[in-house]
Formats: sequence, C-alpha cells, structure tokens
Amino acid sequence: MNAILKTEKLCKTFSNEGLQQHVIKNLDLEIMEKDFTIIMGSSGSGKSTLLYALSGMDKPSMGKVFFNEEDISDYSNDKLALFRRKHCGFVFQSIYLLENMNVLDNVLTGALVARKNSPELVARVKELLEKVGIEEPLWKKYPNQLSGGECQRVGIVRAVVNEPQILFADEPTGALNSSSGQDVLNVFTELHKSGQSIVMVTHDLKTALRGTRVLYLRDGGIVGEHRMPEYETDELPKRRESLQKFLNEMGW
Amino acid sequence: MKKILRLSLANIKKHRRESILLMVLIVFCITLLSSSAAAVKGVKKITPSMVEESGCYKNFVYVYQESYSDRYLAFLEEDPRVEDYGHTSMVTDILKVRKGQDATTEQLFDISFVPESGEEQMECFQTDADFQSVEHPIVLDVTNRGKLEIAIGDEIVILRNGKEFPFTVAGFYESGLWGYGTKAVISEEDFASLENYMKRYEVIGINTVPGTDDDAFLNEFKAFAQDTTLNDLTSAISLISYKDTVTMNEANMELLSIIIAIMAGVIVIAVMIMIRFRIVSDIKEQIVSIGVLEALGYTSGEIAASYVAEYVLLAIAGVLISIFPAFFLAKAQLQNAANSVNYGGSVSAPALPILCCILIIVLFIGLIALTKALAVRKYPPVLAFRKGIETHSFKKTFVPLEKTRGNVHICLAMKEFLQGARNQIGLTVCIAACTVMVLLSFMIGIFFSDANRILGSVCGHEMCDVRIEGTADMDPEVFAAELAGMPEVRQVLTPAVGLGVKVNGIENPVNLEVYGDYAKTSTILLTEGRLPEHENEAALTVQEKKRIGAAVGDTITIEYGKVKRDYLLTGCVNSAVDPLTAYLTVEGFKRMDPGYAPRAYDIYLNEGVDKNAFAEFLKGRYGKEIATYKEEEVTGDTLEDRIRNTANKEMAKAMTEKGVSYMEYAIRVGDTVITGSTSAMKIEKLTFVLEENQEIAGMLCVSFAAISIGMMIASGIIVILMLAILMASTIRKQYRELGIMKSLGYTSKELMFQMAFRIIPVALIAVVLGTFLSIPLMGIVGDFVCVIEVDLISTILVDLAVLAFCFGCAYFSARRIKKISAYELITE
Repeated sequence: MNAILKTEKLCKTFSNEGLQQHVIKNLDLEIMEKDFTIIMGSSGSGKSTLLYALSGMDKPSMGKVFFNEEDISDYSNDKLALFRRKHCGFVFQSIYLLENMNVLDNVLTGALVARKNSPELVARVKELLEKVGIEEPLWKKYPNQLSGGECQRVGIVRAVVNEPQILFADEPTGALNSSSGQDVLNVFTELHKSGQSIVMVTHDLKTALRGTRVLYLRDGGIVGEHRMPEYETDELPKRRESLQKFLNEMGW
Repeated sequence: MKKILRLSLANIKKHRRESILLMVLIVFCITLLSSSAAAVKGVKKITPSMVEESGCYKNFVYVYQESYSDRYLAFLEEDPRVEDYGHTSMVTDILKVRKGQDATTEQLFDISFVPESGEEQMECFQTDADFQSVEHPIVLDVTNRGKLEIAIGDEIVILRNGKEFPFTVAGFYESGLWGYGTKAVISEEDFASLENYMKRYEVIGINTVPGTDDDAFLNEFKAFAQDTTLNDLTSAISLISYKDTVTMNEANMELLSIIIAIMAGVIVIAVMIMIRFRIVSDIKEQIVSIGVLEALGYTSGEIAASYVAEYVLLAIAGVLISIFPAFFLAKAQLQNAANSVNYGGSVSAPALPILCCILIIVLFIGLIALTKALAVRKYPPVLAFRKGIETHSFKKTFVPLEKTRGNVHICLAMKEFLQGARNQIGLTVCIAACTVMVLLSFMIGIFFSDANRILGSVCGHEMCDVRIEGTADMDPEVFAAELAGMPEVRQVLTPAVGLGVKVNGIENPVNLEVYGDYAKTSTILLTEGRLPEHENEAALTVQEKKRIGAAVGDTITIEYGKVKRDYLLTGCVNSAVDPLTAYLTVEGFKRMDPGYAPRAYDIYLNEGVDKNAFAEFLKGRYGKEIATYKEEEVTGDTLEDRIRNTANKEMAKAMTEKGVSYMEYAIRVGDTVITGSTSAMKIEKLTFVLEENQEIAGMLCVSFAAISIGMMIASGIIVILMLAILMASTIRKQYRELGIMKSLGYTSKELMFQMAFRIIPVALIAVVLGTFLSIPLMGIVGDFVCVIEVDLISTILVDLAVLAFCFGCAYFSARRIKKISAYELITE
C-alpha cells in the first residue's frame, strides 16, 4: 500500500492571550491508501486537531503535510478548499448538515461544488442515499425532521458523493445512540470494503474495532500503533481483545 | 437596569465592528438631518435681518428709463398704504471685471451701477468709503472682497466690448435687499458716463403700512402706470414684492439643506433596516443564550430591553459624536445660504431643531429596536434551547438543486435570497432611494457637464455668437440678408428684444420671442408639437404651458399693451433662462402691434471664425456702437477727421438722447464740403452673447457638478455602510453554514460571490423601482430648472453601475470570510 498522506515534523500551536499551547508536536506519520485508520487518545490529546491538519481543514503551525507526495502545508486557504473539494470527504461528530436545506439539497450542495449537475449525478445521489438506508420519503425532509443516525448517514453520503480519495471522520458516532451508531459504522465498513481510504478519530472502542490500523495519540505525538486484520464479524472477540490489550498498554 | 445595560454592553463589545459601522450611519444621520433642519429654520431669519440691518426698502419697482414718469411717485405720495418710498436710477449689464492690468483675473459679472446719492436714497449706505479720496471711486458689496480678492485702493477695470472703465476701490458696503451682491456704488460723474453704454432703470423702493397686501398694491401701481400711457408696459415695469423676495431667497437658500435632508432621510431608512436586520440576526444567533438567560430568571421583557438599550446606547454615542458636527454643519449651511444672498451679517444655528431631531432619531431608533426585540417573547427557555420554532416550520424548498442546471453558486445564492426574501423589503427601499439619488445626480451632472448643452437647453435655443442691436433707420430684412450673405456667417435671426405679454389674462408677464420664419430657427429646442407658422399660431415654454394649464391645440389669449388676440397653441419649447416665454411669428405679433419691426440681429458664425475679428469687421463696415461715438474724445490727425468725429458725436447724442432716427450734416471748410449722415452708424449695441453666457454656464456647471458628485458620494457611502453591516451580520448569522460549505470545498471567493449575489435580485428590483421613481422626480427638476432629457441608454448604464457597485460593495464586505479557516468556522 502507498502512503496517501504523510506528515513531517508536524506541529500545531494555539495561542491564547499570549500563552502558547502546543497541541501537535513534531509529528511524523503516514496514512496508507485503502487503510481504515483510527486515531485514538484521551481528551485533549490533539486527535481532532491532527485530523483537521491532515485534511487541509486547518494549516499546520510548522512542519509539512504531503498528500500523494504533494506538499499541501503551504497552500492558501482557497487552494486548500480546492484540494478538499477534489480529494477529501468529511464526516463530523456534530454532523453539520445545512439546516435550511432538505436532504437532497444537502448532498447536492456537496456534489455540485466539484461537478456539474446532471440527471446521472442526481440518480447517483439518490442511489447512495438509498444505499445508506435513507429512502425517498426522507429526501425532502429537513435535518431537524430526521433522527441523529439518519442525519449522520446523510452526512456520510454528502462526504462520499464526490468519490474522495480519502474520507475523514471526526467521532462520527459521538452524538448518536448505540443503534444509530452501529448503522453509521456499518456504512463506514462497507465504504472501506469498497476500497475507500478512511481516517477516523474516535474514543469509542466499538468504533475503533472497525479500523485496520489504530494510532494512539498522547500530548501531541503518536505513542503507539496497532494493526488489525480486516473487519469480520466472527473475529470480533479476538479483535476486541487485541485492541483492548493495545489500549491498556497505552494507558487508555 | 444595571443587568440590562450589562447585557447590552456585552453585545456591543461582541459585535464591535458592526456596532461601529451602525454608529457611523447614526452619526451621519443625526449630523445631516439635524443640521439641515436647523439650517432650514435659520434661513428664515436672514432676509428680515438684511432689511433690518440695512434699513432698505422691502418692495421694489424697476422701470425702463424711457417708460418712467414722475406721476408714479405722485401716486405713491397720495396712497395711504404707502409708509415710505425712495427713488433712484441704476444701469445694469453683464460685464467683465478685471483686477488691475492682470488679464488672468477677468471674471464675468451681472453688475448694476448706482450713484452714491441713489444708494443713500434706498438704504443706509453702510460704508466708510471716502468718495473724494480717489479718482473714479467704486464701492462694492463686502462679499466681493473675497470673491475678487480685492482691497481698498486696488484698481478694478470694467470691460465692455473692448472699452475699459477703470475704477479704484474706495470701500465696501453691507447691502440690504436691493441689488445685493451685484450692485456697485459709483460717483455721479461716472454714473453719467456709464449710462451711455448700458440699460438704465428707474428704481422705486416702497415700504407699505403693516397689513397691506404688497402684491395687490404693486399690481395696482402697475395698472395705474399703464393707464397713464399708450405704450405697453408689460415688460417695462418689473415688480418685486417683499413676499416674493422672501420666498425666492428662502427657496435658493434652502436648496442645499433640502438635498442634505433627503440624503439624511435615506440614511434613516438604512439605519432602520440595519437595526431590524441586526436584531433578527442577534436573536437567531443567541437563541440558546436567550434560553439560558430565561432559565436563569431573566424575563423576556428584560432581554428585549437589553436589545433596545444596545441601540439606544449606540444612538446616544452617535449623538455625542455628532452634536458638534451638526452645529458646525448647520452653521456652514447657513453661512453658505447667507453668502448666496450676499448677506454679510452673522448667522447662528438654532439649537432647538437640532435637539428636536436628535430626540426624534433616538426615540425612533428605540422604537424600531423595541418592535423587533419583542420577538424574544416568542421563545420560552425550552424552545430557545431547541433553537426556536423557525427551524421547525419549513414550508417550501426554493430552487431545489435537483432541478437546477446552472451555476451552483448562483443557485445557492438564489436559494438563500428566496428563503429570506421577506426581510429584504427594507434593503430594497434603501437601495431604491440611493438609485434615485444617483440617477438624479448623474443625469443633472451629465446635463450640466457641457456648458453649450446647458445654454441650448436652458435658453431654449442655440445662442448666437454676435448680437447687433441696430439703429432705427434700417430695413431689417435687407440688413439681415446682407449679414447672412457674408461668408463668415452661418445664419442670421432677427429676435424681438425686451418684449413682454400676458397670457390668458394672468397678471405675471411672460417674455415674447418673435421670428419671421421659425423654419430658420432650427436651434430652438422643441419638446412638443411645432413652432408657429401662421399669424394665428403661438408656442409657449413648457413651464408657461403648465402655469396656464393649457395643452397643445388649445386657444390661448395673448395681451400686449391693451390689445388682446387669440392664438392656437402649436407647441412647447424647453427653456429655463426664460421659463415663461411665448413665441409668435412677426405677422402674428403685428396683429397686436402693426408697427413692429425687429431691431436685433443674432449672427451665428461658421466654425473657426474669430468673433472678435468679425466684430471689428462689422464696426468697420457699419460704424462703431453709438455709445462709443458719444463718449469718445474728439481726436484726429487732420481737421477733417476732427470735424467728422465731432459730427458723429453730436449725431450719436441726438440719437440716444432725443430719439432721432436719421441725420445728415454738411460742413464747408474753405472749398471743401464735408458731408455725412447716420447711415454709417448702424450699430446701437454689439454683444458677444454666446461668450458671455458660456462663462455664466461654466460657473453653473461647476456648482451642479459639485452637488452631483456630493450626492453620488453620499449615496455610495450609504450603500457601502449598509452593505458592510448587512454582510457582517449575515456572516455572523451563517458562520456555521459557511464553515460547513468551506469544509465541503467551497473557496472563500465562491462563498463571497454567493453572499454578494444574494443582494442582486434585491438590488435589481430596487434599481428598477428607483428608476421609475426618478422619472416623476426628473419632471419636478424640469419644473424648477429645465427639462432634462432622460437618455434611456445612460439610465440603463447608471442602473447597471448601481447594480455592479452594490455587488462590489457586498463582495468586498464579505471578504471577512477569507480570514477565517473552515476549522474555525466549524468550531465557532
């Protein structure tokens, strides 16, 4: 597998009233193509910050981020937007659907930024929605008329509609109940099986089990890495045990 | 109260930039509105002060010298309504004035000369000038000291058709109503000299006893004067009542203040819209906080009061900043008003209108804020936590993306616009008002940018290069044909000069233009119908047609002297210099005055012909002006020259003083008989009409250009401030949505475009509305100034420019999106 994302001495510092807070410190990391990478760590360890720096959502304070060998750390904001448009998809913990648009328009807003409207595109959007369990009666509904799980599945469709090379997810089940969370995770697993590269931040063990590689972050640096086999239901206890062991070693 | 203020101050601090912008709008609003109100109130004192301080008469009658009779004074002597009166003479003309020998200082002035004794008759001659101290003394209005940059002892030269009249400034005076600004007081001897060259009037100043209807009295006076003679006095006697003077002065003085008040009115609308928009944004943005506050025990009334207090605090801050500029601007407007009527006394801005305006604006702002802030009552804590009910009541999906095929950014902009269309009414009104201001100022500015166009439009016809007023002993047709046959001449017209008539019995006289064949007067600017062709036809200016309420095709009655005739109204002419003018053919006028023969010849030269050289050529062929012969010192190299010059001087005197139309002389000197006649003296007066008026029009251009640019800048500032506040509020309201869009890959520029494009439909509707509103307003301008033709292409271009400007301002104001990363937007 090739490294789709790579960082060199990545640093992210926040300044608050003169106080410098170093959230990511000299981080070197590679994210492999078609991998389902899970980033874990305790609260405040810099998981989300790292995700946003990797995805070009935010600029690093120092160091470099390479996407397919191309340095994106010096990109302007607009160039980063174009980069995200072309290569990335995002799924957020707070879902962040556009409240004033219905389901279909929410997904199309994501799609039309990268491509022209066409009946084929609309058909694909509808197909994707159906695939994640959002059937036609829901397409005209607004986000606040849907359940959290439904919203998040719409969010995932919006993120993958442009067939991004890499999908970022920031605790996608964090705001969902257990049942909805599982539905959403199944969608991620299906996406991964179809060859989608995924980077997901989570602090939930069940979610992390879906990944193939788990990175553990502490004080702005990667302190541990655990590789797991492809996700299969019948291997769950074994996977859980190995992951639990890794996390215990990490002091989780 | 403390906690309410604390909430308000916290909100102001949080949205510092928007608050400052809104305060700037409020400062503009208070400064402009209160200062113009104070100025409008203040100007009402200026004319009475002029009368009081100068002791001048209030009502004036101007009579052509040849029409004057001492019986007029006897009438005044006997009438019990007359409290006091005075009489003097004056001569007047449009002349060039030069400072010393410096040709660069030449300026054109409409100037009246009165003798010292006459000035003392008419008002308290408030001057310390010593008439005996210098040769050819001249005393000018004190306001000319600055305009001409002259001081006591300086030499100024009056130029008239190449002849120079040097004067020494003996002092300055402060004038009352009579001839303010344009009047120069000179010695009796100099007055006697100048009256040979200029039109002389007899001036009667009249004060009536309190309670007298001055207008009725003056009309009675004129009727009496007309009864004493068979001559027509319609245009020979001009009446100016005190009421007319006050009305005219105030209209002139208030013009600038009214324009400023209109701008302030637009700003008031802008402030109202911005406050409403901001409160709606604030409530939407802070709805969870509102819920928290309510849960903590704050009542919805207290929360609403905090919003009201926020805007009242901003208004009070605006008052504190603007109160001194308001007084300063009011004083400046009053000073400008005083200067426009050459009032040299002190002016002060009244405080009451300023304070009233401030109070009204603060109350108005409070009221607007209150009506919107009361919306918080709709949100009990639980509902507020759920972000209100608004998000639960979607009714319609506008511009469904599924069905759109165009540019996604435009589609998204339209979607946002339509969802909030109801809230855009205020913005539409405001941009429409700005469009009206821009269109009016642009049209007026463009119209007044070309002095020649003004002359054409304002005068109703193209002005001639040279006008000759001929002596009585001439055949007009033959002379006109002779002039027209010259290679330098493009066209010759024979206008009537100084004729006045009444139309449909209305007392105020109108000027009369008489031409033999209007087919040759292609330069007259016809706006409707056609010019008269037959003896029973007449045309009127647009304003006169409106005044008498006639329409093309109606029969109108024209009265000249005591003769009335009916004419068919065939058309209308656009003229502002003489907005009340009637047009007849020579044959048509002869129906009222069978002995009429034109004496003026308007000569239009071919392009490239030097008018000065041509004038010299005319003088060589037809003799110098009569006044020149009369005034010239008798000189000559030979005895014959001196004899001829002496004879010419005597003939000129006889022609001007005794009304002689033809003379011959034969003088025998030894064996030689020297003969001559007035045949060689055909020019009574020669003037360069176009040049004189071009200079006046040039000055007019500068004034109107300044007003137009000022109005356009003001409109621009209003739009900039308004859209800056609007965009800042919108970004704040949609902070999260913008962040989401950025995370999806929309660039800052695309989002800025979407935000700016949202106002295009509003601006488009507003611009169309503004354009339609401008048309009747342009009509009003036409009534007051002159009919300005509205050019469709220019109007469309201006509208497009307004649209582009609105879009540009909105785009630029939305640039704040650039500074914030997607990450920050999402985590806000």
